[in-house]
This record gives sequence, structure tokens and C-alpha cells, in this order.
Amino acid sequence: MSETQSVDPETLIALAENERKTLVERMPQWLLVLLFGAAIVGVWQGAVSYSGISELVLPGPYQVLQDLIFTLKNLFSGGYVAHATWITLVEVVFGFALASAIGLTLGMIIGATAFGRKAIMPYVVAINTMPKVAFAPLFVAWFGFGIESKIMMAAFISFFPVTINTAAGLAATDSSMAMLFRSLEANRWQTLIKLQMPFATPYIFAGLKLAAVWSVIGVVVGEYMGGGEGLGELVRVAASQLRVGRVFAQILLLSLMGLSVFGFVTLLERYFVRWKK
Amino acid sequence: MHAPRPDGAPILRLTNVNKHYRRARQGQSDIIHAAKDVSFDLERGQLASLVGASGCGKSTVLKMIAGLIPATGGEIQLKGDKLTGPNEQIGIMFQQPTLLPWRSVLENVLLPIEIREGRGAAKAARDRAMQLLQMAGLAEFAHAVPGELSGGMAQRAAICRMLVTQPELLLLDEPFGALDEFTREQMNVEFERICRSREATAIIVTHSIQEAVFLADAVFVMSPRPGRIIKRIEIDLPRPRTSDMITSTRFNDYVREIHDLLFGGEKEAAHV
Repeated sequence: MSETQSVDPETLIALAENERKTLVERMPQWLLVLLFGAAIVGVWQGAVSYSGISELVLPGPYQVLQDLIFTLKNLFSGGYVAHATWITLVEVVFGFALASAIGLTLGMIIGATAFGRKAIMPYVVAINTMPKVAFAPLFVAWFGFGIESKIMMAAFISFFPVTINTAAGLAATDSSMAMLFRSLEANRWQTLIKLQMPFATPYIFAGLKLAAVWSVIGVVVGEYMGGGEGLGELVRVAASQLRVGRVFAQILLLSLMGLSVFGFVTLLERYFVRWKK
Repeated sequence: MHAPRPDGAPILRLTNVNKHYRRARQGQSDIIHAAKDVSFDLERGQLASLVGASGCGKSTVLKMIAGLIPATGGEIQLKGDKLTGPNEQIGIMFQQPTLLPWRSVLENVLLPIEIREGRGAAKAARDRAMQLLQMAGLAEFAHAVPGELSGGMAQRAAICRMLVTQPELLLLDEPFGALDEFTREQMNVEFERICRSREATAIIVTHSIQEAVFLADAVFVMSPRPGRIIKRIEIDLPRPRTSDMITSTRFNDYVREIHDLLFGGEKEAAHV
């Protein structure tokens, strides 16, 4: 009896609560993720095997795995996939850099000047409501079939979130801090550089992360329209040859590229916004 | 008009200072008097507090002296010169510490110098800033970021920032209002000590009658609509002020007198 009495009542309550939890609530997340992934592959394999869908339309998981291994082998042995990946990466990096530069500049003009807010902002919003992908043929016509048209397309698609977030971040400046700067007779430049821009960095990075992903979209659209030597072109060719497994493998490479740029921006954010808890 | 005298002239003189603005309501526009005919003098080394209910215009008066909002009438003079905007001889702090979270505590304290005189001057003033932090008991937090400070410590850092330019006049807008009762009392004692040691001239806006009496040589009691000073009460308590004074009869007589002025007035107004 004395033993049961020595048990902490809160522990007993916690144990009782655990009893009530379902199996799924008690399982670790990684296991659930794996199980769900396996289930999808199982359904996929089943659908391919029993429905009689042609391999040309939807290859099974095994075929896709083989295509993936082929693509990765080619990539790491410096084959044509490596060349295409390099071209696309260059386009993405330059497109993203250009989008960041344009977005930051426009965002600062909009966020820090009345002219920007009143005269420029409506045009930026108007451009954003357009289906920007539809401009791709024009970009090919203007900038040619080389990497320039893809870079411009990527920048065009992804400058908007950087612009808006920069402007919003500058406008969100804490009003007491702004009052402090006014009492110190800070000029507009000092207020922008020493208060508003640092205050806006978390907003700016949220925009940059969106732009990182969107610039990959821009590059792929540019390559679909304007050809060239990148991964988008490989996807287009493989799809036209009904090699769906290859398409999947190449799309996976494109996602990894987007993820890498995203990860790079996240690292920068950790450094610049380390003051924010 | 008043010729500025070299000696004995008040540091701050308010003459019939007004602040009113129009408010449109249901098609009619009426004039709101946030501050009406506010006049007082403040001598060097005096601590004054402005006390009143929220919305009585006490913060408005403070912000007009700070040059953050323009007065619609009257004149504010600092050492005989008319004030027209923010002035480097005025130091200010708010209810929130408003420390920049991306700067260290020391860099925050040096911010006023950096903005007014540039980076070089801020660097040269590091020793002075460190002395201030030492005085505020924050020396070992000089290189910490504000996120690591407690509320009371952050306000002490804000006091250091206000003092670093060695201003003639300090303006404090409910400086300890966001702190818990214990920290607040402790801050009052510390702030009184700092002011006394530097012979500072200060105006403290507060809605705590106790705080107003505890810190001040003179309490200005304000009443709302229109915001005006209804009485100036000289506080004749010895300095340094100590925590045990709060329970003394004389202290509480002052508190009761101000309380009656504030709440008696409201009752009358309600009957009109």
C-alpha cells in the first residue's frame, strides 16, 4: 500500500492521459511519414499493375527509381544532366539575385517615400495581378534563346514578394521607436538605415524565401518557352518522348535546386535575424 | 517679453500652452482641447510630476515640450529660448524601453550620440556610457542584447540612453508603468537617487499618485476635458526619498489631497 501512495499523483494523471491517446498520437512522426509514403507507393504500384495503365502514361515506382538512378549517375559522372543542371542553377541564382535587387530597391522606395507609396505601388500591384507566366514568349522575343531570357523571367516572377515584404516591413516600424528617433532629430536616411531596415529584415527574408522558390518556376517556364540547355528543356524533351520516369527524376532535381536556394536564404536569415526570438 | 536672465531663470517655462484639434462626429465637428492654458515654470534641479487620469492631456503636454507634436498656442521656452521642435538638450524616455533589439545594450545607450554626432563621437563616448551602465548596475550586460534583459533592466538601460547626452531636461512618459509593483518601487528609489546625484531637472508623467509624490518637488495635478493643470502642489519631503516614507503621515496627506482633487472633480463633473 505504501508503494502506491508514494507515486506522484501528477504522474498517475499523466499515465492515465497517455492511456487515452490513440495509437497514432503515440507513434513517432518519422515512422508515420515512412508508413504513409510506403502506402502511397503501394497504391501507385497496385494501380499500375492491375489497371492496365500503359507504362508510357504512368510508369510504376520501380521504373521511376531506375530512371532516378540513371539521372543521378549521369549527373555525378558529368554527363548531359550535369551540364543541364549547371545551366539551370546559374539561371536560378542570377534570376533570384536580380529579383532580390529589384525587390529591395522598389520596396525601399515604396516603403520610405510618399511618391513610391502613392505612385509606384499601384503599378506593382497591377503587375502582380497579371498571369506573369503569359509573358514568357515575349521575354524570349526580347532577350533571345540564351540564359538571359530565363533569368529575366525568373526575376519578373519573383521580384514581387520581395518588394511587398520590404515595403510592409518598413511600414511596420515600431511607433515608439520611431518617436525615439524623432526626438533624437534623426534624418530620414538615419531612420531608414538604423531603424527601419533592421526592423524590416524578418519581413524581407520571408519575401526572399518565396522568391527563392518562385525563381525556379520562372526559369523552368522560360526554358519550356525558349528552349536552351537547362533541366526544363530536358523535362520538355523527355515528356515529348513519353519517358515519364525521366520527367519525374528531373523534376526531383529541380525541387532539390529550389530547396538548396531556400536553405541558403534560411542560413542568411539565421545570421541576420538572430536578434529575433 | 521675458529677457533671458543668466541666473535664476527657469530652465523650462510654459506660457498658456494649448493643444486642440477638430474631431468630426456625426456630421458635426467639435474642438477637443487636449491641453488648455498650461503654464508653469521649472527651476534647475527640480523634479516635477504631471499626474492625472488617462486622457487628461498629460502625455500631450510632455510631447509638446519634447517637440514631438506642435502646440496650437502659447509658448514653450527652454533656458529662455523658444522651443520649436526636438532639442538636443532634452532627454526623453517612454513607457516601453524602445531598445533596438539588434544592438547590444552599450550600442543602444550610445545611439543618441551616434545619431546626433556620428559614429566617431559615439566611439569616443564609450567610457561615459560604461560609467552610466555601471551606475545602473548593468555593467556586465553592456554587450548583451536587449532580449536578455528583464523589464526593469531594460528601463534602466533606457535611463542610461536618456542621460548619455547629458541633457538639461529629462522628460519621462509613464516610465515605469509597464513594470510590476515591486520593480516599480525599486526603480523609483533608483531614479530619485540618479536625479539627485546629477542635479537633474525632470518632468515625469504618471497616473500613479504615489509615484508622483514620491519623486517630485512639485506635483501638477491635471484634469481632463479640457486638459488643464488644476493645482500645483509643492512636496516638502526630505531627500533622499526612501521606501519607508511611503507609509508616513505626511506622504499620505499629499496622496489624499491629490486623490481628492482628481476624484472629487470627477464627481462634480458627473453631476453637471
